[in-house]
Amino acid sequence: MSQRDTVQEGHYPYQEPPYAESHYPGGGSYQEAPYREAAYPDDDYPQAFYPEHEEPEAPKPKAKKKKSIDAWMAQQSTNFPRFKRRTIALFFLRLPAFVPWFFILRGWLSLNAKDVLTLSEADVLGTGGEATFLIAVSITPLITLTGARWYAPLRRWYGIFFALIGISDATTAAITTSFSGGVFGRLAGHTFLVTGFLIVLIAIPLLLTANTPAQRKLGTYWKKLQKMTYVIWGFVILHLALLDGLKPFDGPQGDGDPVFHQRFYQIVAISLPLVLLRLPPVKRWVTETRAAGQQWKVWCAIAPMAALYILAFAFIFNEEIFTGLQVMTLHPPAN
Amino acid sequence: MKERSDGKASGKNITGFLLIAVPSAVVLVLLILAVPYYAGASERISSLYTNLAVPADRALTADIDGYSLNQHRNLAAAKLYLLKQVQAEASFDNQLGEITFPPGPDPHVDLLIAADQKRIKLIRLQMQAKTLRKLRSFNARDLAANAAVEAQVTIIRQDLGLPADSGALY
Repeated sequence: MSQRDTVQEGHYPYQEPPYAESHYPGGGSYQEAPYREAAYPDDDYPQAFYPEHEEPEAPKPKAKKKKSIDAWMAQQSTNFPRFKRRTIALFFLRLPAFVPWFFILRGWLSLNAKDVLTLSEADVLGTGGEATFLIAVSITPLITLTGARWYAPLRRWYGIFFALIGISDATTAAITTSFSGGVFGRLAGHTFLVTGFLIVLIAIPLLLTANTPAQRKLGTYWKKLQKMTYVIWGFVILHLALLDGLKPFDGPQGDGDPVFHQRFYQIVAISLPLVLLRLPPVKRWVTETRAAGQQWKVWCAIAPMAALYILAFAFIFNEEIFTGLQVMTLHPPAN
Repeated sequence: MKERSDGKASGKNITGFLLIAVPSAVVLVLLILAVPYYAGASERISSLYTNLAVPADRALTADIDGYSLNQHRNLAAAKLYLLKQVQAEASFDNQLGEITFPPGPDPHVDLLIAADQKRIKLIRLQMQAKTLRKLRSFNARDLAANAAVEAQVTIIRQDLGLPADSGALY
């Protein structure tokens, strides 16, 4: 072992050796090296002095900036210091899940006054369930796009509410709708009703296992089970296609916007970017481009699909609010 | 994340980019086409209404003329024309209910259908008349029922930007 190896690393770089005697030009004192300084005239201090020590790199400002959204959301709120910003934001972002029940409540409490549930429950709870499902499946692509993860808990929240709203929809429909054939006829008397009923049946095991203890207990099977979400997704699209009769422009009647109001087109417009952003090559391109600091390229490439996504959601929300208000005021549509 | 430098990786990246860019380009074209389509929505609704109203008016005019001719001399023929009026109005109401109107005329469409249903009820009552005199006694009430329908039609046509149709019911 050389004399150089005997130097204690713990003293580098900020703590000066306590056993100094001679005066150090910089003002402090230090131990005179037990070897001749002249022997190492070109020493690249301190790297050469401590060959195994790596100079700590200065933090890169860009990398720090990228982490800032999640880090900022994890901080305590300035106005409500007891809560983190993330907690407050998630609280408000979770509230819209209650909207379908808020709208339908008067219909339930009035025991289907003026046939309000018979005529509109599917429009309110069905559209509400569809919206919550689409929000739930939007979280993962949004994480891919932005890199921020603070809103990830919304995925489980809206997934749970999709199942709960679906169950309440099926229960209300089984009691109040005007399809013939009793409870079974009201739940599965038509092809579109069968697909809707299947959606609810598949959602039940997902709902029961949408918690951390179940996740721990099921281990790797949990993720496989949760992949049934994709089956539900397919059935939702089929359900809406059958609901509108698989006609491209809603027949000769309908309304002035047969394309925009066609539920099948709405869900296709929303699903397109969500499916594409789940494809491994796309995910890789997005994350790599974002990591290279060229996020604008991703936004430019996705912008038209994002616009279509927002437009389709606007029509779904409009439908929900329009029919929801009809139920709340007990003024269901004539047909 | 470290940038990939091998050819295979960059090839995959191009695939990822194309998978986003190509559908986005198609969507962009569709969105551009959607602007004039959306702007023409009110015209399409007006045209849907006109497509229903014109044949219904034609049929009703013929039925009313037939009734007017027979109300003094042929009870059976007059009742037949009343039945035709009921059928034409019921068909118009059913088809009208299938159209989703904008918020402006929508409540008036509901009121129009309700007024039409009252008129149909009245005509059915009129059809039970055993004599021509009794049949004609309903004429004044018929005119009042027509006025209620026409009042709603005037508002609907105004909201849809259609000209006021003089003489016709719808």
